[in-house]
Amino acid sequence: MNAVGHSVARKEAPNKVTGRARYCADITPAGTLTAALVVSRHAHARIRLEVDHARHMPGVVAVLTGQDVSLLCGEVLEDRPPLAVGKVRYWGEPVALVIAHGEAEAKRAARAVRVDYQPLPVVNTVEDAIAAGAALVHERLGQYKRAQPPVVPQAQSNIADHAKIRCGDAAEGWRNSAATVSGHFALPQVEHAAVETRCARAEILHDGRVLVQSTTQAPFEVQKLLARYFHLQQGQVIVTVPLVGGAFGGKAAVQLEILAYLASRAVNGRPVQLVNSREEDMATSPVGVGLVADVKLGASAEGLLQAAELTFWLDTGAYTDSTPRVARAMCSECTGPYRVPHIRCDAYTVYTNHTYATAFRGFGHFPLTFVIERTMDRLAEQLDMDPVELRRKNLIGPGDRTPTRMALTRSTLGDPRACLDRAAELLAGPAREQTGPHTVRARGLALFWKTSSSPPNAISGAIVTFNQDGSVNLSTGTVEMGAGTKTTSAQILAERLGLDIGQVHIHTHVNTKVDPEHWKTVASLSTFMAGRAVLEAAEDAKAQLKSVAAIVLKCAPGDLSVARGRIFLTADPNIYVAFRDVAHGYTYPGGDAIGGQIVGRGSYIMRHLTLLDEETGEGHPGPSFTVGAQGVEIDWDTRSGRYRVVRAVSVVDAGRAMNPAGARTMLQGGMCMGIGLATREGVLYGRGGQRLNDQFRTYRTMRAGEQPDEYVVELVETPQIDAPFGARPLGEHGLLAMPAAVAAAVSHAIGRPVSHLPITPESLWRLTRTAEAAR
Amino acid sequence: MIPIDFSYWRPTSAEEAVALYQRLAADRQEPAYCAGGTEIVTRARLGQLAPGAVIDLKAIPEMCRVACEGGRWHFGAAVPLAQLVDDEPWPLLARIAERVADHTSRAHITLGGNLAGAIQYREAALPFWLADAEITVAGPHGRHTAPFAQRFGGALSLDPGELVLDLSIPESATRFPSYAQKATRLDYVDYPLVTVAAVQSPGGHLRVAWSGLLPEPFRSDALDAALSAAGTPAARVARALGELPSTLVEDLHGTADYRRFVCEQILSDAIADLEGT
Amino acid sequence: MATSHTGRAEHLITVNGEQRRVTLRPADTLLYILRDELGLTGAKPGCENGDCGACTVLVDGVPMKSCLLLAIEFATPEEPAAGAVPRHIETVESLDETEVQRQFLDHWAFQCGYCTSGFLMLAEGLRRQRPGASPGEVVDWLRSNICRCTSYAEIIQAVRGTLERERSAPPPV
Ligand SMILES: Cc1cc2nc3c(=O)[nH]c(=O)nc-3n(C[C@H](O)[C@H](O)[C@H](O)COP(=O)(O)OP(=O)(O)OC[C@H]3O[C@@H](n4cnc5c(N)ncnc54)[C@H](O)[C@@H]3O)c2cc1C
Ligand code: FES
Ligand code: FES
Repeated sequence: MNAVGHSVARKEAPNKVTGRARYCADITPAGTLTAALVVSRHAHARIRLEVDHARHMPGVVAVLTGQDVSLLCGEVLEDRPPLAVGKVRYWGEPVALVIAHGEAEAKRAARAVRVDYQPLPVVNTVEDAIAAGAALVHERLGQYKRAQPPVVPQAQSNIADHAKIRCGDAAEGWRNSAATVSGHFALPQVEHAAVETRCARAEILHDGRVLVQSTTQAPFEVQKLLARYFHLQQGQVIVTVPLVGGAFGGKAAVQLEILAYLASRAVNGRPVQLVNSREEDMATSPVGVGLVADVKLGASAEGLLQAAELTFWLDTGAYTDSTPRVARAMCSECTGPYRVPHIRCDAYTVYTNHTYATAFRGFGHFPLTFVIERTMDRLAEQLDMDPVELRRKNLIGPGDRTPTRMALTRSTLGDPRACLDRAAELLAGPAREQTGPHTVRARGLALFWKTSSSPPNAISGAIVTFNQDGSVNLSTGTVEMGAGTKTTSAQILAERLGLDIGQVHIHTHVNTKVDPEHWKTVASLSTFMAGRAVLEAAEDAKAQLKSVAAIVLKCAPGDLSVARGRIFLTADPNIYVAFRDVAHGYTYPGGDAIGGQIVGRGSYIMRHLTLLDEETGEGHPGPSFTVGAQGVEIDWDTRSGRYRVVRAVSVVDAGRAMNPAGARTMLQGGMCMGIGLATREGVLYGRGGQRLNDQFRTYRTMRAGEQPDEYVVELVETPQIDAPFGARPLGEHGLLAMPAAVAAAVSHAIGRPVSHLPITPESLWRLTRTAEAAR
Repeated sequence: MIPIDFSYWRPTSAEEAVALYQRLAADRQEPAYCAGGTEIVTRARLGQLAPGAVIDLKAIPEMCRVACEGGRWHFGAAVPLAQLVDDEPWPLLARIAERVADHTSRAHITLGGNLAGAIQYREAALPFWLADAEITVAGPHGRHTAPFAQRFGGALSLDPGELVLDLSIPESATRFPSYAQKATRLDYVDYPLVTVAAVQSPGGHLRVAWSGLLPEPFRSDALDAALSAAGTPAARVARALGELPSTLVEDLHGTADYRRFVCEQILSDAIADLEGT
Repeated sequence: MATSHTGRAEHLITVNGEQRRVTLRPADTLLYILRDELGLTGAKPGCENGDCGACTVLVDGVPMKSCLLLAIEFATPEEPAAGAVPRHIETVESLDETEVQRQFLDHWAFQCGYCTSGFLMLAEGLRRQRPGASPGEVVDWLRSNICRCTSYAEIIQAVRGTLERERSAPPPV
């Protein structure tokens, strides 16, 4: 019983330790054809294709090129052809698709496609992109359709979007500032690097139905986009998603699904499957945005923040995908969790000849947190103030307004002060201490905040049905990609119906035909949105159970309670009827029956959210915040310049710990990824824009032994009143402030501010060496 | 998934392997020897390699043997690195081998494959350069044993159809004081930024072999001489660094300058370790 | 005498204690054959390059990356020579209520679960080969695989827990 608040194991856990858990590429019906991509080996070039030879190779059924497809797609701005037409805009971009009977035949033919390149000037950095006279990544930017405003492209430039915050009077802010600091930052694009690569299969039946199976985090988005792009009724498109092997935002972008549909259409609707190789998953499918930022903060002599001026250039690569939305999410919380009266923020989505970008765990908040927190540390230095004290002084709180002028309450915000105080306590000790002849221990701390930045009308739903034995089935539209969303929903339902969690059966896979729509499994919103829908479905089912039971038990529904699979008289639990006796109609001894099958329905739609105003940024981007403080201790070897994160701390306001062990491991996993981002990760391009690290051999992620010796995770519980059991989103947050915290600790260790990522030993050696040279 | 097709052969003697190679080559089958197969399999998947026939060397008993005979340790070329680490017949080789790739991959990667492969680090070669090693090669003209350095100058020089049968060193060489260090950009498992193997020969002379610094492994008598000459350790290191080639590798693991800095530290450590200073 | 195989043909291989008849090309990797021909999809492709370990299986008790192996190496003749012992492949599907599985469950050593089969086989290999492994050795083995979801601490605890149980188990009678 009491499912909520307990460390309930994932429902599908036993399958995951026996190899029986099925992921997309594990389920391929016989007769499925294989598609293989031909991808660009130039970053920016006019192309001419020669496919005749490939088309006639054994086993090949069809070869598609950009010429065969007249379609531009894009979540926000329709700027991306599924297969390049006329020119390629990044190294790794799909230029042709070969469909064959077997994988070997498809790959062989793909290699036989000849691509002639006529190189164009490569826009290889954000600086290149915004320089006067820069080569244009998109010549027709002004003509692209805006699929999901707001988005503000600047024709004849590489600026795909400009989002703003204008709050207060910047001039006054600077007048009131006794101290100002500014910082310039350049953070690379990063890889999601889910161990399961992206995969999609499509089949077009002769009755008009389109069956799609993929690794998507957004099955309902796939359904809608395919219907829109190919003029289908939405109901014709049926998307199924089995378990997903990690996603981190990278599987929210709709890419392979469109290609798989095109492939199937080219072969008379036969099923076709397209699976990314690791190299394609890294270079061809989208990455997380890179960021170039200028940040300026001003504060009074007492250290009260007065003004913030921020310019973000988001490296979205060749296409926008969701970057304009990421930019607005960054604008919404551009100050970090601090009170700043005067704010000016400009976020530009910038095209380059890099792999295009999409959502990445935290939706822009890890780079955002990095640049703000690093600048706060600089400010503390300038004011000669303890960095924790400076933060404490400026912490945003209930009654304050965010940069988008959303008024905060304890329920919407949570308790950043409690997080900060506890984290500071857990990290007590000098910022830098010599611990040996060549070793220094240093500490650093950083804060984060984040709201969801979902569309204001995002929805979710839940359906509850009963089995003859009184156990229940729960259907939701959330995808299970490791975060345990399905299990959380089951916990909520079990709690509300007073059932054992074992009596709640979930649909592990999502099927858009039968499961109610859930916007997307992103923004860590599943617990909140699907949870609300489940609560409503539980109440709906209970009301129905009670109304039938009331007749049977000869009382009013209001006299009844529900628990342990029974509906009973609140005043006398010995008078009851079991779920199994009423859930499918109650049958009297004579055989006559009342009631009927009980189906609990629940739905949720975001409330009171609004889009951000194009000029001022005013608006209401999310239902609540998750705030937290994170810190690390590092050991730095002064001789070799190498360091190791030895201890990592997170104190996060979880609202309510629905599943303590689940929350802890998810946060820890995020912390580990955050340390990876801090220390080693980053997409690398050569001089010509070619991708240098498209394998795990070269794109380094954390491995065993590189994790800190100790993780400390503590939860603060300030309930979010309108959330199920008060629980706040947690899925993305473990990583958000880790890179900033590592940078803070390293800065203390070497005595120089660190404002780049990743912080490799060589980069520190370079910093300290230039410092010595300057002396 | 390897999209190309090849035939697969599993000879049981070196002579048979060589004969097969010749026959298949004459047939334009473009044969390739294969030991651990890691490079053949991964490069064939990527289309960087397209052998028409693969000749697996792992069923040739003498290539899978590690033994001490007649005062020399013999290391079969098809022995996986994991075995050299676990059995530790030669501590220096074990220290170098245990840093190649990762634990599981070392059960695949063979000594000969590491030396003969296209992936240019060939770290397992380093110790052999420092130990009066001999290499035995089997080819169309029979077997030849030669000083290791004659056949390996950063890469193996093998004629088409030749294969490495085994490598050997005097038993005494396994007992020379030695030092091994691998520095990477950051990760424990990674290609080298700089890998160093060093030994102190009975006369006190230091010899060093390097991987990661140049496009291929290298060693230099002049550098060893500078390192071994009289002087303070710092002065010797400085002189030795002066003997490094002027252009070192610049890649995603690190820049040339940084490699030089790391070399300096490793050489100081090596001297301290070997001379107990 | 050399054995040779050309073109797609039927072969016998021993997987999880069963002799299986499969059609394969000499260029097929073991990972591909396990998954696409034998339906043993527990072993996962994560890189097909030897880097991630999601495809790890046991070969005669030793963890190996099945994406780096040619399936043909495991083919046995219909009538094996006297005394020849076929090489034995074990996949995650052969594990049934073992200690290592329990430990992975107890320590929350996975989230998405995609890397889990590989880590389990690696850990099972470690248990059999080196029950007395030091903490350093445990980490050295585990470095062979990548998990993007967990913090590794959970996996390391699960593996140490497995070895501790192994060491404290009464010796077989
Ligand atoms: C995950 C991973 C990580 C790696 N990390 C490192 C590293 O850190 N340091 C490093 O140095 N290397 C590293 N490598 C590279 C590896 O050592 C080489 O690719 C090596 O070639 C693999 O050996 P193999 O036995 O598997 O070779 P195979 O694939 O069998 O053969 C490779 C080449 O060598 C030839 N060959 C093999 N044996 C012989 C022989 N006896 N005589 C003549 N020719 C022969 C083959 O014809 C082929 O051309 C790594 C490889 C992997 C897969
Ligand atoms: S799939 Fe074999 S190591 Fe990644
Ligand atoms: S649990 Fe997802 S990769 Fe390990």
